[in-house]
Amino acid sequence: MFDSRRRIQAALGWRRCMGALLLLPLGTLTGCSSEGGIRAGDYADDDASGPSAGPNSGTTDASTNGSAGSSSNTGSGGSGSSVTSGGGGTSNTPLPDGTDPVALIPARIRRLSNAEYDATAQALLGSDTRPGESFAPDARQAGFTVNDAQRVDAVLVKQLFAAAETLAAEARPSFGELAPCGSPDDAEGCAADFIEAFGSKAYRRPLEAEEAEGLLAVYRVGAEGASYEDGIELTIRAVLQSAGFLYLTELGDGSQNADGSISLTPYELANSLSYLLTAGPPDQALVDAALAGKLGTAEGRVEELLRLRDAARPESDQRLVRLIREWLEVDRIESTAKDSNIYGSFETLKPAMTSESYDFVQTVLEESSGDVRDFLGADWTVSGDGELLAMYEGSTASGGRASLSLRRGMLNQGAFLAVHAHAHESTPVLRGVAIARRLACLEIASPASLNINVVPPVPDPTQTTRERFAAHTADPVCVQCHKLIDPFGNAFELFDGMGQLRPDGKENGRDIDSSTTISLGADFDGTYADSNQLAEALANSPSVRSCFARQLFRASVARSDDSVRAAEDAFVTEIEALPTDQQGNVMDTLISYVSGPLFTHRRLP
Amino acid sequence: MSSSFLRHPAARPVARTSVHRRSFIKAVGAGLAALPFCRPIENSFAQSAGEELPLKFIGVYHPHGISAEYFVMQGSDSETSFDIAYENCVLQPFDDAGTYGKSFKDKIIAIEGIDLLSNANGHDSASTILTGSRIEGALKPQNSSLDQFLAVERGLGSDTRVTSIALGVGDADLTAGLSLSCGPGGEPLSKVIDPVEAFDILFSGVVIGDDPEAQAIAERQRRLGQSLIDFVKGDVERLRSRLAAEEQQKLDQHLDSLRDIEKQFSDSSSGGGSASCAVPSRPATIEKLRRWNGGEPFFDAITDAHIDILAQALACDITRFSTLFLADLSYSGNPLGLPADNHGGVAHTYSGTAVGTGRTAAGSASTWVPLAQFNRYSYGKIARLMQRLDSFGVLDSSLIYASTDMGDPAMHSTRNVASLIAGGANGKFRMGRRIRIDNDCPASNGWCQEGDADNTTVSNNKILVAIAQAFGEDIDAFGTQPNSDNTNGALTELF
Repeated sequence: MFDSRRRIQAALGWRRCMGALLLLPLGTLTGCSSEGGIRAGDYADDDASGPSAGPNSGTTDASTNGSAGSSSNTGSGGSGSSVTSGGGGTSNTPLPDGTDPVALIPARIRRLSNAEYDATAQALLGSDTRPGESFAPDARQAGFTVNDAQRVDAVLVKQLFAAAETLAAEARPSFGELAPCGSPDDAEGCAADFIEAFGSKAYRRPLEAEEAEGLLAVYRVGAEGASYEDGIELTIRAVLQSAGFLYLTELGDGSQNADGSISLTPYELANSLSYLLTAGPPDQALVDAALAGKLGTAEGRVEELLRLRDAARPESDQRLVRLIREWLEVDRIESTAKDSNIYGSFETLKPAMTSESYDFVQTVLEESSGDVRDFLGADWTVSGDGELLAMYEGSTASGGRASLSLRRGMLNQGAFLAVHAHAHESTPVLRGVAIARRLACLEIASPASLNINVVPPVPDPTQTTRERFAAHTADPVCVQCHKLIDPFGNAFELFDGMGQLRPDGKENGRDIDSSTTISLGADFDGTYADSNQLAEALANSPSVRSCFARQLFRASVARSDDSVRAAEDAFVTEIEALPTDQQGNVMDTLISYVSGPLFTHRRLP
Repeated sequence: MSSSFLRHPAARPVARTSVHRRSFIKAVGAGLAALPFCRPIENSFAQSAGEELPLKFIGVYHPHGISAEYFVMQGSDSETSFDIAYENCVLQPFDDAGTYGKSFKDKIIAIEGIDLLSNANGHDSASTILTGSRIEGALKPQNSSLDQFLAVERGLGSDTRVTSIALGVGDADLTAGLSLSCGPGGEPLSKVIDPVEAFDILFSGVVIGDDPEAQAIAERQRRLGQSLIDFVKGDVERLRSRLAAEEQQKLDQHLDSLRDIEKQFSDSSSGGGSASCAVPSRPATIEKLRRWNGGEPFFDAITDAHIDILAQALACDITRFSTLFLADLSYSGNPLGLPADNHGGVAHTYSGTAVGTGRTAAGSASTWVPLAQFNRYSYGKIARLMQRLDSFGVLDSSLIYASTDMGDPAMHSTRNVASLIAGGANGKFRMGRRIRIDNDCPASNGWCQEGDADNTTVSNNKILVAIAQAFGEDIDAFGTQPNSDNTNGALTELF
C-alpha cells in the first residue's frame, strides 16, 4: 500500500476529495479495505505517538500460535514453581506444548500511565493528591492510555520532579508511622530499614543492593546539616522519580527457557495482574500468592483475578470503566466543547452526560451482564439528571435506572454522540469511523496518509447534514473509504451534534432519512431504520464480540502494532471458541487473557 | 524522499565559546568566570563593550489562518515603505506607539506567499512550521523542529541552564496540529501550559542579589536536586543496561530529559546582575488552564504571563530557544466581541478573494473584518513580546518567527500562510521590510499542484534554512519533502 501510495503521489499530486478534477480509476487507492488486518487508529485526535504507524501486514493467519489449541481457561502446563524469596526467584514454567515463542510479546518495560501513577502513589503514601491529572496528557495507542509507547520527556521529567516534592512533603506528618526510628543515635540504621521496606513496596519487588546503597546516599545528603526527617523526605522524592517506580518490567530474571522464551518473575506476574485489573500495585495477598507459585497456573491466575475484582474496589471498578470508556472514546466528553450559539444547553448538560457515561458502564459491569450486549443494546441508562432524561425523551426513572424507549446503548447516549461530532454540527463521518474502527475492527486510514486534502462541505440551510455529506458517495476518490464509514454514521442523523433528537424528525425543514444499509459481508449486514436498530444488531453480532475481544486485548497487552498482531489474532480465535454467552463479556475476556501463556512468558526482542 | 537537513552530517554539537565570553574571561580571569552565576554580568559586560549578545529564537504559532485582504501589501506599498496602520490592518500592533510605547515597524519582515507543505489537513499542519516536514501516516512530521535542531542537536542551547522551552496556551495535547516543537523523528514535544510551571522551570533556584540567606537556601536546594538527579540517572541507566536495543530507546529520552533538568542544579544562582536581568515574581496560580474546561476566559492572562516570564528568561540568558503556541478566545463574552466559536463562527465564515488564494473569487468583505480582528489580537501578543524584550535590552538579539498553520482558513489551505520575522536578529536579517513571494500557481491554473510545470511554490523550509544560517549553522537544506527543491536553499530575501 505504501508503494502504491507513492506511485499515486508521483502521478497525481494533491487531490481534493470533493470536487476532484480528474476521475480516478476505481480501486486505485487501496487505503480502505473491509478485509485484512486492523490498523491502530491514526486518526488525528487519537494516537499521538508510538509504534502504531506503518504499513499493516493485515494478516489474520492465526496458525503461528499453537496455543490456540489449548484455548480453554483451564490449566496450561504449569509445573509447580520452585520460587525462592528475593527478586531472583522464578517459576520457570515451560510453555505449553506447541506454543510458538514467536507469537509471544517481546520482553519490555512500560511507563505507568498518569492514572496509574496517581493510584500507585496513593497506595504507597495514602495521599489524596492526584498530580497525574495535571501531567502532560498520556500518549494514546488505539485510543487507550495504557500502552508501552509512553515516554518520559523533558516536560514530564520536571512535572515528576515537582510532584515528588509535593507528595514527599505531604507525607511528612506520617513519618512516625512510615519511617519509625526507635534509636535516634542510629538514624542511618533507621533510614536503611526504611529504604528496604518502603523501597521494595514502591518498586513492587525486593531492592537490589546497588539501589539500596544509592538511596542511602541520597538520605545522607538530605540529612546532612538537617534532620532525619529531612533525609527521609529526600529519599521519598528519589523513589518517586526512579525507574523502579515509574516503569513496569516484563523482563524475567535474566535467564532463558530451553524453548527460547522468558518467564516473568513472580513479582512481575503479580504486578501485571494487579495493574491489569486495578491500575495499581498488588496487595500483599497477591504478592504472597505469586511467591507461592500460584500465578504459575492458569487456575491460580484466574482465582486471583476474581478475588481482586472484589477485594480491590473501587479501583477495579475505575479501571474497567475507564477501559470501556476509552474503547468508545467517550472519555473525551470531558474535553469536548460545542458552539454555544448552536448548542446552548451543552455546557449545562455535559456534567450529566459525563456522569452517565461512567455510571452506566459501572452498572452494566456490576449489576447486569457486563458485556457488549448491554453496552451497546441496553434499553435503559443510569442518570438522576432530570434535564438529561428529558433530552432522552420518554424515559422514566426507577431505582437509579431510567428505561428508555428512544435510545439504545452507549452509541445513542449523549457522550458518544457529542464526542463524535463537530462543535457546530453532527457528522456521519466521525460516528461512522468510531464504529468502523472500534466495533467492526475495519482498517480505515486517515485522509492525510492517502494524500487527500479534505475540505468539509459548506453549510447549506436547504439540505440535511446527510445530504451535504452525500458527495462522499458520488466522488470516486472518497467512496473507497466512505462506503465503509458513512452507512454507520447516517443512521445517527436523527440526533444533532450534541445528541439531542432533532424536533419532528426534520433538519432545515426537510425530513431526515436515518435508514441505512450495511453491506460489508459482515454478520450485521442489513437494512436498519435508525441507529437504535443498528445498535441492537451490533449488540448481538458475533463479529462485534470478536472485535471487542481484539480491542480488550490491545488495552490489556498495552500494545497494538504489528509486533503483537499474531498474538492478537490467536487471542481472538481463542475467544471465538468460547461459549457464546462468554464472548463479549469483559471479565470472561480478561479471564481468557490471563489464562494463556502470553501472560506469563515473553520472547527475546 | 529527501530528508537531509545537514550539509555536513558529520558535524557534532559543540558548545560555543562566543566572542563576548572570551573577552569577559580575559577581563575578569578564568577563576571568577567559572562561577555559575556570572551570565547576567557577562551580558551587561558585553553590552557595555559593544559586543552582541547571544542570538535567541522564539517560534510563535497563531491560529485560524489569515485575513489576507488585510495582511497583504496595499497598492501604494513598497518593500521598504509601507502602511500598516490603516483601518483593519492585521499588522497594526507593530506600528502602535500609543499601546506599545514605540513603533516596531523597523523590526519586522512580513512575508506573503509562503506555503506550508504539510500534505495534511490545515488543522494538522502546525508542526510543519518549524520542521518543514510533511505530516505522515501516524500524523506527525518526520524530523525535529528547528528550535530543537539548533538547541539540542547543534548544541546551541547547552550553555544555558534550560536548553529550550515549549510554551502553550490552553491545550497540552501532543498532536501534529497542536505542536511547534518536535523532537528526534518528529515526535511532538510536551508544552507547558501553566505559567506557574513555566516560571518554576525557568527561574526555580535562580537567585539574583547578595542576600546570603537566599543564597544559602538556593545552594541547599541545588545540592538536594543534584543528588536526586544523580540517583535517578544511575537508576535509569541500571534498568537500561538490562534491555535490548529497541527497548533502550524508551529510556534514552528519559536520560536526555534528566540531563536537561540537571543543568539547573549546576547553574543555579546569580550574584550581581545587570538591570536587564531580574527574577520576576512567581505568577499567581491561574484557576483554569485548559480549553473546553472553562479555561478560555483565562487565556489572555495566561498568554501575557507566559510572554512576560519568557522575555525575562531570555534577558537573563536562562534559555535561548523557545516556542509559544497561542490559542483563540472561543468563549461567550470574549473581549473582541467575536462569536463564541472563533473557529466555526469566524475562520469558517471567511470568504476570501484572489489576494490570498491566487484564485478568482468574489469574496465577501464583511467576513474579512472579524478574522482580521482576531489576527490583530494575535499579532498584538507578538508586539507585547517585542516590547518586553526591548525593555530588557534583548530585542536586538532576538529572532522571532511567527506563522499561522493556514492561509485561507475556510478552505483549510496551507498555501499563502502569513509569515513574520521580528526582532533585531543581531543584524543578520534586514528588518523593516515587506516581502511578496510570487503565488505558487498562475491565475490561469489556480489549482495547480506540486510537481506541475507551472508550480512555483516557495516553502517555509527556506525560512528555516535562513534562520539556521543566521544562527551560524552552515546548512543549505532543512526538513523532509519528496522534492528536494522544497527543502533546499535559504530565503535569501531575508538577508
